[in-house]
Amino acid sequence: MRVLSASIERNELNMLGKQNTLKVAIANPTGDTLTYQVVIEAENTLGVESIAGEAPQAQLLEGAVERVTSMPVAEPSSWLLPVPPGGTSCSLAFTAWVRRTFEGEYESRSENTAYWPSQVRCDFVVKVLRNGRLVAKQRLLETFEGFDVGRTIARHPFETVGGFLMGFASAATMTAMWLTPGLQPLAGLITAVSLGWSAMNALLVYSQTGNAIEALTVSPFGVAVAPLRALADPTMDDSMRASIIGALIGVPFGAFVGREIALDVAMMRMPSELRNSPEIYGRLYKNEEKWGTPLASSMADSIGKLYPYLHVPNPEELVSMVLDNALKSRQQALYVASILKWMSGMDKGFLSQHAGNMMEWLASPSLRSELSPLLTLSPEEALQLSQIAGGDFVEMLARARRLAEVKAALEQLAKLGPDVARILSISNEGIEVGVEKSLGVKLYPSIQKGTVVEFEFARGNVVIEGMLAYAGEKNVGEGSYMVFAFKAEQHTPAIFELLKEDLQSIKVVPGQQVEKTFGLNAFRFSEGKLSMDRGILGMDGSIRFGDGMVLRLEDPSVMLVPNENPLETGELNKMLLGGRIGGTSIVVGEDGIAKAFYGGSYLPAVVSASSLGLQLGLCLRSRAGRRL
Amino acid sequence: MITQAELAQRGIADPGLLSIVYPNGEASTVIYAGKDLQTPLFSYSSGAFVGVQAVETRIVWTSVDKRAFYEQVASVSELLGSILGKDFKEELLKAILLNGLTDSQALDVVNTLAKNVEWLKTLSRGRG
Repeated sequence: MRVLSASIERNELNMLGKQNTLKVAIANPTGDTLTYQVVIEAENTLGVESIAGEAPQAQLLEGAVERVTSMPVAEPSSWLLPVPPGGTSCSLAFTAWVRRTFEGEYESRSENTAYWPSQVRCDFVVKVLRNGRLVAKQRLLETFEGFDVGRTIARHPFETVGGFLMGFASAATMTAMWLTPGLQPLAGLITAVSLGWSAMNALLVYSQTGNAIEALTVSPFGVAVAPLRALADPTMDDSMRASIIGALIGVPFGAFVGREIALDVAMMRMPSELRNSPEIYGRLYKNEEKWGTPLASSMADSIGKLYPYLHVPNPEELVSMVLDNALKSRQQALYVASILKWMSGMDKGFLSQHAGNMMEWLASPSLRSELSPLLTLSPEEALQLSQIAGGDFVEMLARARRLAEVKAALEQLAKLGPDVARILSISNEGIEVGVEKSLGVKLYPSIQKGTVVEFEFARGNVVIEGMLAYAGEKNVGEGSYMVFAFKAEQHTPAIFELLKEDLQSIKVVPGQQVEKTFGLNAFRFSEGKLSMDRGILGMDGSIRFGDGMVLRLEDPSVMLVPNENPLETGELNKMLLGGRIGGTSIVVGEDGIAKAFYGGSYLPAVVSASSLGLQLGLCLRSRAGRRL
Repeated sequence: MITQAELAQRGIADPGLLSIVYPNGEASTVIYAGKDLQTPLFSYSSGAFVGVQAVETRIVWTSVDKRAFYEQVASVSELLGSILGKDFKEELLKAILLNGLTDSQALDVVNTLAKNVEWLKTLSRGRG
């Protein structure tokens, strides 16, 4: 009876480094299940190279390679099989490699490779052993080809094309998205999600297979690892290899096309009457031709957002004129794109009021440069200026110019260093700072006593911000100063001690006049009960409510009080807004809670608001009626 | 405590139901019996200026003296509130004063509850 019958089913490409199948049938004439060991070994060598004899003696360093032996091997090469009475047959997976063993004087090492320039003849012997003793053996002669990337791709044309299309499409889409203003956050999100998804998949692959290389291929590092593996790792699945290599070819094409279509993507998002207007898209393409896709895409995106707010007789003509201006020079194009982008980031209410005016000015060669101060404003600042100017565009621009000048002066001041502003006096009760008058009058031209200005005190890495009230002018030595002060009253904050230590090393930087509004928790009577309605309290004592009602505190005032933890918060003091309601003094802090003066201190207070005015709640005291 | 004079300045002279609003928006319903008003301080142990608003009740008045009626309702609701909690007290006041009962019906309910305080105490212990 024949104990062993074996055959090899080679991989379809007949290559080294790829999985093959060893089919074995083993007989068991006994009545018991026996465990056999199946072993596959190659008996032949492919070549022996002696290096030592050919190399100069000087190169024969300690441990240098003297001999290289190449031989075919199978991995894995041994399996344990339980064989029931009568026998069994099974398929065992193995990969054929060429093992190169490098022998040196003191040590040797070996490596498996699938790259071999010629056919590899493998004289395999399949053995069956039981308890280490040979039971049966069979010879199997096979030949394998060296690993060839080109041939693997050729066998998977559809996957290659699929990979190409996927790489092309995704690169084109992502490139277009990255270049299209407004879509970058989405592109970023997609990238982040993709990376997160691939990282999650990598963990899954690793947990399932324990194979770090497989996991790395799908991880965020897969962008780098996958192409390397596709080219160099014969064990990789060939359809996956074909996809990756297809994508490698597709991505550069996709990125190129993505750049080309970015403007079209931006234009697709414009209102239809704009994107279908030859006057508009013609000028956008001209801008793209002259100044590049990113700039033209930015303009298209901003115009698309602004267009609904252009309440002017002929908005298309206005947009055309603006785009014509952009065509004049690169500098003009950048200016136009910047103003358009700034406008598109503004509040809807602001745009409804001013978008038409701004576009008219931007279209006008003589007026467009007047818009530049707007670029220094944040959306909140612009909205505030618009409100202060009562919606008057020209007045708002004038204020914006003024604000820009102040900002520029402040920046200049900051560069000038400590000489322009300095601490005139400091004690436990307060601090007095002087700002050189010649610069102070430029910074605060219409300042009045009591007006609060922000200052920054810097000493080394410690920076403290403080608010000081204007107290008048003073001559100190040769210099004339505008004096700003803060009285700490009975408090002795540690910060003053710190500042006093070395006055010369403190840099004092004056800032802007403080314009604050506080939320005020007021109560309104509605549907039979009092409910909270937050009003906005301004420094002038006015309280504005959501329904448009405006009420006023009597005798409004601004108070500066010491901060309890200036070193922790970096703030020397805080501001309270004060006033009177029905003869009682109240203060409101940034928390919006009003406090009313009673018996020497301030108690939390309910302030109710109605068309009749503001009313302070009744004072609730302890049962004994004592001052608490 | 808020004095009778202070309440009178705000036009609150008659006994009745009052809603008290605290600076943090917290509210409490209390009975004003025509004297100085006792109301909880909650977290405002140092005192606070509170909003006071009269709440219209739906008691149908017959012959009962309003001040005596509210004093009785107030004392019983305070007692039950101390046993069963603030929420119970508020619900009790709403149930008695806002459901169109006559003054004598409302007093019947209140007095019945007062007579059964011990039973309610037991009930509340069992519930806890």
